[in-house]
Parts: sequence; structure tokens; C-alpha cells
Amino acid sequence: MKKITKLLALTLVLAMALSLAACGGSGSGSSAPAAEAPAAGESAPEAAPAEESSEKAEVYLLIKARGDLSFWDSMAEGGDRAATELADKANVHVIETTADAQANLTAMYEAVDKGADLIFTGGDFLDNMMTVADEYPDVAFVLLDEKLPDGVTYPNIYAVQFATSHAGFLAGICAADVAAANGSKVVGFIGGMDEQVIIQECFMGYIQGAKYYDPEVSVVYNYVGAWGDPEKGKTQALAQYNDMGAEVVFAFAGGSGNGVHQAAAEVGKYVIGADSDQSLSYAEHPETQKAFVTSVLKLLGNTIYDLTKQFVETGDLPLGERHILGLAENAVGIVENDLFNEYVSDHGKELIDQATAAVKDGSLEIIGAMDKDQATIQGEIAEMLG
Amino acid sequence: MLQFLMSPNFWASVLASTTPVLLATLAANIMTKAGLFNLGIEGTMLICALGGVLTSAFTGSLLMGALVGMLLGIFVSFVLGYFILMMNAPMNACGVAINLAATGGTVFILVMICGSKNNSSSLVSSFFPSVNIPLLQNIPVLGQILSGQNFVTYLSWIFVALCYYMLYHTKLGLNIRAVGENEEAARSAGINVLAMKFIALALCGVFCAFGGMYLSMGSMHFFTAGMVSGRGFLSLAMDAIAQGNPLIGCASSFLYGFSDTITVYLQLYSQLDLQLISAFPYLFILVVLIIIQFVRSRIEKKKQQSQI
Repeated sequence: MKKITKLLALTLVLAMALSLAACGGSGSGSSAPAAEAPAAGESAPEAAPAEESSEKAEVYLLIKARGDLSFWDSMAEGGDRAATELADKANVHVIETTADAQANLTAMYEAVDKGADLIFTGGDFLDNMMTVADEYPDVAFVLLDEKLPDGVTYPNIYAVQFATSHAGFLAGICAADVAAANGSKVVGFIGGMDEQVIIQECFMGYIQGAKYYDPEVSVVYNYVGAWGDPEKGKTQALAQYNDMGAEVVFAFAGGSGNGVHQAAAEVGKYVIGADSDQSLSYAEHPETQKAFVTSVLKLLGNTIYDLTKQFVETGDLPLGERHILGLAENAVGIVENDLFNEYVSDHGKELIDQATAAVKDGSLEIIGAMDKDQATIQGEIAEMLG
Repeated sequence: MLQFLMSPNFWASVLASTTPVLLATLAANIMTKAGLFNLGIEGTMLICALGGVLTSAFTGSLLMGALVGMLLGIFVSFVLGYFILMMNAPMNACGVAINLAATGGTVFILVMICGSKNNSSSLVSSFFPSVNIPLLQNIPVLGQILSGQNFVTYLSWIFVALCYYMLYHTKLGLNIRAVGENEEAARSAGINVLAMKFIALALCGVFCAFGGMYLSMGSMHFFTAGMVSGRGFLSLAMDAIAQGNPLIGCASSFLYGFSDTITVYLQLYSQLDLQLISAFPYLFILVVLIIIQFVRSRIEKKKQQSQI
């Protein structure tokens, strides 16, 4: 009996330790091997003498963690690409700091202590970046997918945001096209949370794209109200498919979107993913995989690679400024895989090319939600929906 | 604006979204009856949801997955029981500990095995099938609503009936309730209090397990991180309405399922403000709680008056 007691206690302690490891993680502990991973491809940079590192730019990417198949993976992919392709000009370190803001801050200080010239991180760590940028005015910082608070500027922070409305626009064209092929004029949208500019930005593009394809297409929408509730996402998707007659639903809802994918597979209709080519994650679930028309992407990797290249070649970045990058800069896009080619008609593809070209030459302006207050956004969405 | 109430899809969705809450509520009911309060239902469901998926993926057998899921549920409940009953640890703290361990631990194991922090879609796991009931499925409307639900949904209804019967019509149920009402009195009547509580915990674990597995192996065909999404906590509210009675628990879960689904359809069919719509299920529960409490206190008063 005593042995069992001890065993039980041990199990619980283990369980607690596991949970701690998963939640908290330690910045230095988990970051060390990650920092070396990209470096392994270079000529032993850890042992590099001081003079060599002064020639090469030290570039640090602070990400939460790899493996989300989305935002952070896309960043890491850009970092890895820069690490190999720009190896002779820069040491690029991709460091996983977990979601812990304190661990990220520690990693950022470590990076500047090691002589970082350029540091990238995501909008989640805006506060850390402002703190460190203030103390180290000589280091360049790039903030991804977030802007600095109103009225605040730092001479050494370049803020980059992504016009996902552009990608949403293309997704809207795809959705309307696939719906038309199945004799429907209804497309759906399911967002994670209401009144979130990130979602509204994409949603507005989606509506405009669907109407660009055919002004008579109607868009129905739901908000799950949670990022991790697939069951509710499924209920909403079923309502849109079965009761509203939607043929395609665009799921922009994090983990809740999984329920939308499931619903699409069950009723044999279509879905559009977000953040990564989500059809890839369903390789083992073919019936779900083939429900995917496409997925909307932020091409963070492209942006990171381009900016790193620009930095090491010219030593210049538009620091102190903030830019919204879109289709014209190849910073957003949609997945064009076999399923896309199969489902989207030639007419649809033509319209996508046409819209892309029009955005690039400035003849088509896609209205987004960024920098607008909620009242304006809601008004514009209502107007777009008609 | 309310024409969707005529749609069979709507009612089918109500039954589907009732299922996990119903099972969790049953778990909370039996805990209340045994005089325990299990805050860890949410976490237990999450652990079982993942355990079932992983086992069925590696054995290729739904039965094994369900079995291991159930055993895991019982195991987690027993861990809780060990700490609160044998070590006299505070009940609520242990429940919270289980929830924390489950939230982090499931993601940890998910990453180790599936390489993804989001879901287990890289594994092929079995799932409980949808069941078409012969004859019933041919009846228009009613067939669309009642037939074709997931196996676990029907199982949950059977569980409600069995649980009710067990609690109110068997010696075991009487003993469990006696322990819950007054532990000392039960002990003096020769009831093994500890055994009764552990039996209740085991049942709680089984119900949690099916609630969790419904989400990951019924409604969805894979595990998603955090997919229980507060349903375990909601069940505590449902149980507060039911005060341990499985039939009222079933009714209140159904009310929740109804109000939760109606928010989905109101978003589509009405122009109401979204904030208002999302608050609806909770307002609904609050109003029902107030009404029930009011009725209860009236009955209580009448009883007292008649005694005088």
C-alpha cells in the first residue's frame, strides 16, 4: 500500500513538472539548442573570433516556438532561409522563447549582449522591444505584425504590418468561384473573436473579393468568441452550410477553425484555411483535406528574408517608420496547390491574377480595417455586406 | 428572425452541443451527491480526450481507446480522491491543480507525440460513429433531429437514466447520498464512507471521460489543444441548478445547449449586437438559477409553515 501511495505521489509530481515545462519553459534552457540549430549550417559561428562577428551582421529572431504551423513557423522559415542563403554576410539565430514575455525579454537582452545588430520579434512582445530599444539605440529592431502605440516612435524600430485584407480578397474570389461552380451564391466566414482588427481586416478583404467576383454573392458570418473551441466552430459551420446554403466557409478562428474543417468534411462542402496551408495538416484525414480550397497566408518568411537581405547588403532599414505590406510586396498571399487548381475555375484564376496586378499598379484599392476605430469598421463592413 | 427554430438542423445542433456539457454535468451531479466538489472536471475531460485519441491511434481500436480513456478518467479522479480524502488536501486547490496539469500536460504530450501544439490531426485515430436509428430516421423532422446523432450522445442519455436509477432506486445510490448528506451519520450506520466516495469518483471519471472523448473522438475526429473550452466549469453551474439530480441536470444542460446554439443562429438571422448575443447563454443560466432558487425558498417556507 505504501508503495502505491508513493507511486501516486510521484506521478502527480511528474504531471505537475510536465505542465510547468509545457506552460512556462525556460528562456535560456530551450533557447540554447535552438540558437545553435541554424548556426550548425554555418562555419562554427559559436567559436568564431570576435573580428569575424564584427564583419558579419548578427541577426536574431525571437519567436515563441516552432511547430505552430503558422505565424511562428513562417517567421522561423524566413530566418532559416536567411541563415543559409545569407550565411556569408550574417549570422542568423532563430531563438524560441516560449509565450512567456519574461523569457522573451531575457532572450532579447542576451541577444544585444552578444552583439546583435538586428532583432526581429512578433507583436506579442511589443513591450519588451520598446524597453530594450530604448536602452540600446544602436541596435535595429523590426516589429512584425503590430504597430507601436499611437504617438510613440522609436528611431530604431521598424514596424511591419500585413494587409491580410489583400489575401482575404483573393480568398473571397476563390470562395465565390467555387460556390458558383456548385450553383450557390452564398459564402461564409467564421472568425475567432468579434471586434478584433486582425480578423476584420481579413474579413473585409474577403467580402470585397467575393463581391468583386459577383456583386450578387452574399456573405454570412459568425464569430466563435474563442480561439480553442472547435465544437462551437463546428456548430456554426453546420448552421452556415445546412441552413444558410453556404458552399464555402472561410475559417479564420485558430483552433476553433478545426471544427469548421470537420463540418466541411462531414457535409461534403468546402473550406478556406488561414495562417498556413492547413490542408497539409490533414494528410492523414483525406476527407477533410480535400475540403480545402486554399488557405490565406501572411508570408512573414518572405518579409524577414527580404528585410535581412536589405539590412546586410545596404545596412539600411526604414527605422522609425511603419509600413503595411501587402500583395505588392509579396508579403501576403493564398496557397495555390493541387486542390486549388482543381477547384478554382480558369475564370476564377484569371480574376485572381487580374486583381493582383491591379493592386500592384494601384488601380484597385482594397479597403482594410487597420488604423480605424470600431465604429468605422463596423459601418464599413455593414455597407460592404449590403 | 426566429424562423430557424423550425429548422431540424438547429435542434440537431442543440442535442450535439448539449452532449459534452450533459456528461460533465452528470459527473458534477454524482460528486455533489457524494458530498464532494470536483473543480477538476475540465482537466479530467481534457486528459481523457487526448488519452482516448492517442490510444485509439496507436492500437487502431476504438474499443481500446474508449477503455483507456475511461481508465484515465477513473485514474485522474482517484488521484484527486487520494489527495482530498486520504491526505486531507483542500478540494478546490487539488481540482485547480488537475486543471493546470491537464492544460499544460496535454499540450506537452501532444507536441512530443504529434509534433504540433495545435492538434493531433497527424494521427489517424478512431472515432465513435454516428448512429442512424431504424424507423425513427424515416420520420420527417423528428428523424432528422433524433436520428443520426453521435453514439456518445445516445450513450449520455442512457447514462442519465442509469445514474438516476442508481442514485434513487438502489442501495448503492442510497449509501452515496447518505454519505453526501451527513458523513458522520452514514458512518455510524455502518456505511463505508471512503468506499462510497471512491465509487462516486470512479463514476465521475467515467462521465468526464466520455464527455472529453465525445469532443475529440465523436464530434471532432482528432484532439485540439484546449478543446474542452470551459465546458467542465459550465457543468458546475449546471450542477448548481440541478443540486445533484441527474434529471434536472439533463434538463439544464439541454437549456444550455439550446441557448448556446441559439447564439449561433441569432448571429446569422438577426441584427442584434454580438456582445448581447454572446452573453445570452450565461444570462439565461442566471435567470433560471434565480427562478429555481426562488421556487426552492418558497417550498422551504411552505414546509416550515406546515410544520408549525
